[in-house]
Amino acid sequence: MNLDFSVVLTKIPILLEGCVVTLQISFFALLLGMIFGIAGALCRISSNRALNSIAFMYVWVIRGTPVMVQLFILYFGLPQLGIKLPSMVAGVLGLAINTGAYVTEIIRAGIQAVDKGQMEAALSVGMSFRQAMVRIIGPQATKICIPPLVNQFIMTLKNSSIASLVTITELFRTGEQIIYTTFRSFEVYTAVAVLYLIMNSVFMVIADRLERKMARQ
Amino acid sequence: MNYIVEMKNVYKSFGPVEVLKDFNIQLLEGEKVVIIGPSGSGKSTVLRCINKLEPIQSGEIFFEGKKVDEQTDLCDLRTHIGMVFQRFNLFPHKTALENIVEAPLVVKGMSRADAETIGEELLTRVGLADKRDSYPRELSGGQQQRVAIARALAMNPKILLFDEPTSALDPELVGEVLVVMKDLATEGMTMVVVTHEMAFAKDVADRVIFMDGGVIVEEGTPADIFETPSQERTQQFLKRIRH
Ligand SMILES: Nc1ncnc2c1ncn2[C@@H]1O[C@H](COP(=O)(O)OP(=O)(O)O)[C@@H](O)[C@H]1O
Ligand SMILES: [Mg+2]
Repeated sequence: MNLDFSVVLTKIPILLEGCVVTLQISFFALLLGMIFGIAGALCRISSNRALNSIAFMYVWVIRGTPVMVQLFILYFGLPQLGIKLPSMVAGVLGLAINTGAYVTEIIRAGIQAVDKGQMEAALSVGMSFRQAMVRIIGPQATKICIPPLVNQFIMTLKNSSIASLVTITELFRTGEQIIYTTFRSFEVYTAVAVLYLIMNSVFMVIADRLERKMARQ
Repeated sequence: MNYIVEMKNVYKSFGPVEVLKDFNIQLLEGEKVVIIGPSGSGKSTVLRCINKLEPIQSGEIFFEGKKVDEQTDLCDLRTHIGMVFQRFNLFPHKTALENIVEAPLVVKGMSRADAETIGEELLTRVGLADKRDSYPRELSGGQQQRVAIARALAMNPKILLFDEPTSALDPELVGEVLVVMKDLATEGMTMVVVTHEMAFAKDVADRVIFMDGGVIVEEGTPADIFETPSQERTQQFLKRIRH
């Protein structure tokens, strides 16, 4: 056996740069994905037929196709239609569109999981639909949504490794580049895995705190 | 005669299911009406049509003589019509006091200080002044329902609708809720109560309505309906619930 983790140690600064890019992609993908998801969920629960169908199609198509294919269509496919997106934009947008579809479903399910009696009680004291959504249904749905959203955030962070395929030098691609010159596949991939695990763990701990805080209320 | 609520020839269906058929009812100010009837007969639907939680297919509903139609501000209408639900439906993320002050704050735009003064008065009125900071899950069913009554009173409604307010409660907790309701009745509140608590109906009701299959089968004083019902369906129903 011929393992040498000292290679990894010397490459830590470069790997950390990869982590930063991964976190950047994930952050913007999650931010945009949440916006898409909230908008999608509101469309899904609205009584407007057109909005409802659009949101339904969005979720259907995105959930039913691989995220890698979605990303390739954005980055390699669109230029054929004259739309050339920078790799970073394509990467973030692709991940955001993908995340948004799942978030749509999570939020829709969360809203619908709130007891119907809550909306009725809110309306019966004279609140408008909007007031009831914001003040009564929203907070309860948020609590229900947190665990599945945390799950989705973790998925998005891991899926960001696919951005390497559209030439973004995030953590995974950084690792591959190190391997090209050092031939230390096992050591470097292991280091990459550990770094993903650490990033997700930090995230899980924060989420866990938040969940406990909400549960206490 | 000026009615506070009047339903005229109301027809209501859920898809193919006809729930109210040519339904008519008039409620006088200060009147206490108890509605009884088998499950599925449309009792809840009547209440939910009065405050427009349910749309109707045809017929007319008047509130204080004004027809409720597309022009009606439903939020405003509902502030005048309090509703108490079988399952309480308190807001679980809000304390007892917050449940009560929510509508005065948000709907009426009252100041927090004023709203809380009213909220505390109402909590005292339902005997729960010491529970102002408790969350619904920390309260018994009877206490939750009393908070729900206080919440319904917070907008100073002209009429209160109760949909089987005690049927989700353990028997030993029914009394405390009925006491609060009787107090309200004594104070002159207009009330429509769907309940099978016959002692309460005899005590409080000016009029008892027996519904079946989406129509009023029979109505009269509690004595009329409970002692000498004229319709066979009423007799059979009473026989069933007395066992
Ligand atoms: N939201 C609804 N959708 C479909 N059917 C309903 C709905 N609400 C009530 N119903 C039907 O309407 C009928 C009357 O219901 P309801 O007014 O709740 O009766 P009650 O309160 O007397 O038990 C029942 O047959 C019930 O199944
Ligand atoms: Mg009912």
